[in-house]
Amino acid sequence: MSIFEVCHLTKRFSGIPVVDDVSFAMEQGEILGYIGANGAGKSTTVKMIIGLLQPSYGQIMWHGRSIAENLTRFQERLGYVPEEPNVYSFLSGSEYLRLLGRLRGMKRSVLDFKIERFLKLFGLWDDRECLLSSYSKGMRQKVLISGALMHDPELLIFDEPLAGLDVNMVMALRQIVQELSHRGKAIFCCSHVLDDMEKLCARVLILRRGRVLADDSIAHLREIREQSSLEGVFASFTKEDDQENLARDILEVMQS
Amino acid sequence: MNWLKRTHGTQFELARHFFASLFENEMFSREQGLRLAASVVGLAIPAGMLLIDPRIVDAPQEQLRVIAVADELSLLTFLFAITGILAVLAWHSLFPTRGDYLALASLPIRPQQIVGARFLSVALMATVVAIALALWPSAISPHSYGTQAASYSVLFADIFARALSTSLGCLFVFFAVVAIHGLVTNLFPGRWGARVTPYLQGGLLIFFVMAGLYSFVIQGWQQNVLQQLADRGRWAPPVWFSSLHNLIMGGWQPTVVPMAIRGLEALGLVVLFSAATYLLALLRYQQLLVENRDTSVHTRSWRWNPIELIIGNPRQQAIIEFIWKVFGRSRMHRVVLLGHFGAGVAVMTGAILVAYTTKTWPGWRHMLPPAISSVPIGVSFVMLTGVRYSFLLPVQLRANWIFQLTESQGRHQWLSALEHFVILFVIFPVHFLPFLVAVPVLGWRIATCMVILQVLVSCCMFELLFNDWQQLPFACSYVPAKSQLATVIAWWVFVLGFLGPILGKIILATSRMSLGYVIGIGIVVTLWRWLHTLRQDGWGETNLVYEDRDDVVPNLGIAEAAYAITRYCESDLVQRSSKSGQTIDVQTAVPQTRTDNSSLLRH
Repeated sequence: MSIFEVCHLTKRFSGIPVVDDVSFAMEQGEILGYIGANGAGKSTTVKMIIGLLQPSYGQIMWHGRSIAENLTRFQERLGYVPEEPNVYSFLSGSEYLRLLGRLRGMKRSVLDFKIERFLKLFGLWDDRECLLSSYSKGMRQKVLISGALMHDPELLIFDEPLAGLDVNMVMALRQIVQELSHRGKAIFCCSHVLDDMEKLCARVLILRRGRVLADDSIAHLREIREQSSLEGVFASFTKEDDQENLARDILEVMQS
Repeated sequence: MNWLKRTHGTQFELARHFFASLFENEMFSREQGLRLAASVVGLAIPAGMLLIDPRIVDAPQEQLRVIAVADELSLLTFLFAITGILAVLAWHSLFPTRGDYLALASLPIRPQQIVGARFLSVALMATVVAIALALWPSAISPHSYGTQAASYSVLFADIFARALSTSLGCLFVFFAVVAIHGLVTNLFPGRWGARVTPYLQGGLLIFFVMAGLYSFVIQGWQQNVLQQLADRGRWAPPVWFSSLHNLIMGGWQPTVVPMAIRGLEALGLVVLFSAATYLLALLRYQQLLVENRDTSVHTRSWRWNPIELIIGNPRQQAIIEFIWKVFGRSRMHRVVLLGHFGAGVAVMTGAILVAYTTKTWPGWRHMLPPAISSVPIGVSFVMLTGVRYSFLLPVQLRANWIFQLTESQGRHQWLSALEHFVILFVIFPVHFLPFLVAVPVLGWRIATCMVILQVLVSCCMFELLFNDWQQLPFACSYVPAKSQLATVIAWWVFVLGFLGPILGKIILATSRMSLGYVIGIGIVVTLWRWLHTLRQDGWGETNLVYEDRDDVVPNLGIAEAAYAITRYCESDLVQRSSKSGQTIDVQTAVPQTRTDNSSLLRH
C-alpha cells in the first residue's frame, strides 16, 4: 500500500498552470526522482507537498488521508532539504540546529546528543560555533540535511540534495539515502542533475512545463526510449526544445 | 539632463551609484525612502514655523538684537541636530563596506577608486544637505530681525552670510560624524566594530535629539545669558558659526573673530581628519574588511541556560532565543531599538529639563519624584513601539521557511514566547532601574506601589500595541512608511508630552494614598484583564502572516471578509471531499482572495 500519494495536483498562478495535473504514489522505502528543467514546476510541487503553498486543485494523501485534515501531523513526520540553502546566517551551525530541533519540540538532552553526533559525522564539529554566513554552500547543505534527519522523519523531501557537496560527501549521502530507504523511509528527490538521479533513484518522474511526461523505472524508460542513459531518455522526451538554436542565439548576442 | 544620462568614467559612475544609495538600507528601497523624505519635509516646514519667535512683533530695537542672536543660535543648533541625525542615518554608507569590495571584485575597479568614490559621494551629500537645510531659514531670517530697514544690498549680503555660515556649520557636523565613523572603523575593525557601532549610533542619536530639543530653550535666552557666551560657549559649534556670520557681515569685535576662526579651523580639521581615515581605511582595507573575518560566536562555558530555567517549553525557548540572537547580532535591529530607546530617553529627559530650566531650578529633591513617575511610562511606550517596529523588520526573509514548515505545531507557543519576551526583557528592565532610584527618594512602600501600577500601565500598552499582532518577529516581509509620519509623531507627542506626565502624576499621587491605591489598582487591573482577554481571543489560532501588503487604498475590510468566507468555504469543501472521497477543484469552486489579515476570522 502506498504511504504517500499525490492526486491530480495542480497549481495555477493568475490562471496559468505551473503544475498541471500531477499524480504519483510512493511506497515505504521507495526513492522517487522528480526531474525536469528549470521552471518545470519541481519546486512548486515540493512547496505544495510541504504545505507552503495551497494547491489550486487536487489532493496530497498521507497514509490514505488528505494532509489538509491534519497538516500538523504530516509536517511532524516530514524532513525537508530546500533547493537554496536559505538559513539564518547570523546563527552558528549548532545554534541553527538547536533552533530547528526546538521548533519541532525536541527536549534539550536528546537535541544536544543529536546535534553533536550529526556535526561530528558531517565533519562540521570544529566549525560548530562559526556563523553560517562563513560556511561554504556544501557546509550549509550538510547542516540542512542534519536538520531534516534530526527528528527521524518518515518522508524525506530533498530538493537538489547534492548541490554544493564535495565528492566524498556526495558518495556518503547516496549511501545514507540508500540506507534510509532500506529502513522504510520514503524519499522524494528533486533535481535537474540527471547523473545524480540515475545513481540515486530506481524510479523517476519526468516533468515538463508542469505536466508529467513519464513515470517509470529508469531501466524501463531506457529500454522503451532506446537510450543508454537517463540524460538520453530526458532529451528524447524534451527534444522540441531547440538547444542548438538557443546556443547560437546567445553567442550572436555576445559578439554583437 | 542628457549629460547625466550618459555613461561616464568609472569614478563618476561609482560615485553616482554610491550617492544615490547613501540613505538606502535593508529597511527602505529608494522609492520608499523618497516617500519618507517627502513626509519629513512636509512636517519640517510647519515645524520650522515654531522657530519664528513671536516676540519680534512688538519688541523694541534693543530687545530685537537679543532676540535675533538667541534665535540664530537656536536655529543653528536645530539645523545642526537635523544634520547630525541625517549623518547618523547614513552611517552604514559613509565608508566602503566589505560588500562593496566583494560586489565589485570581478570588475576592473581598483580599491582606491571605491574609496575615492565613497568619499566623493559623502562630500557631495554633505554639501547638498548643508545647502538644503541652510537656504530656507537664511532667506527668511533677515526679514524678521530688522534688516528690512536696510538696503537691498545689505539684505542680500545678510542672506548670503547666514546661508554660508549655516552651510559651513552643517558641513562641520556632517563631517564630524564621518570622522567619528572613520575613527571607529580604523580602531575597532571586524567584530568589535560591529559591537561598538550600534551603541555609538544610539549615543549620537540621543545627543542630537537632545540638542534639537535644547534649541527651543536657547530661543528664550536673555541678555545676561548671551553676555556669558564668549566665556561659556567658546566650545559650542553654534557660537562659532554665528560668529562667522557676524564676521562676514563686518563685525570685527574681539569676541567674534577668534570664535569664527575656531569654527573654520574645526571644519578644516574634521574634513582633513575624515579624509585621513578614508586614506587609512584604503591602506588597510585588505586587513579591515576582506581578511578580517572572525566569524565564531561567543560560547558559554556553562551548560545551563537562564531562558530554560524560566521557560520549559522548547518551542517557546526557540522563539525567545531567536529574538534574543537577532537583537544581539543584527546591527539594523539593534540600531532601531537603541534609536527608540535613545529618542525616548532624550525626549522625556529633554522635556523635563526644558520645563524646569525655563523656571527656577527646584533642585534634584523636587525634580526626581515627577521624573521617576513619568519617565518610565514614556520610555516603556517608546520601547514597546520600538520592539514592535523591530519585530516587523524581517531578517533573511527567505530563511523563514523553517517557521512556515513548523508553524502548525507551535503557533500558540510562539506567540506566548513573544509575550514573555516583551514582559521579561522590555517591560521589566524599563521599570526595574527607575525602581532602584525611587526607593531612596520615595521609600520602599510608595516606590513598590508606584512601580506595580507603572508595570500594569505598561502591560496595558503592550495589549493595545500587540492587539492585532499576527506574525512571528522578523519573519514577515515589510512595507515601510505605511503609517503617516504625522500620525506617528502625533502619538508620540500625545503619549510623551501629555499622557505620560499626567499618568505619572496620578500614579504618584495614588501610591501615596491607601484607599485611593486600592481603587486605582482595581481599575488598572480590570482594564488590563479586559485588554488581555481581547487580545487573547483567537491569539495563535489562525495562520501567521508572512507577507506584508502595501494597501495604499483603504479597502473597507471587503477583502478580509471575502478571504474569511473563502477560507470557510475551502475548509467546508475539504471536509465534504474527504467524506465523499472525491477531489474538488477549490480554484473553480471558491474565488481565491488572498489577504492574510485573519482578525475577522477570529471573531
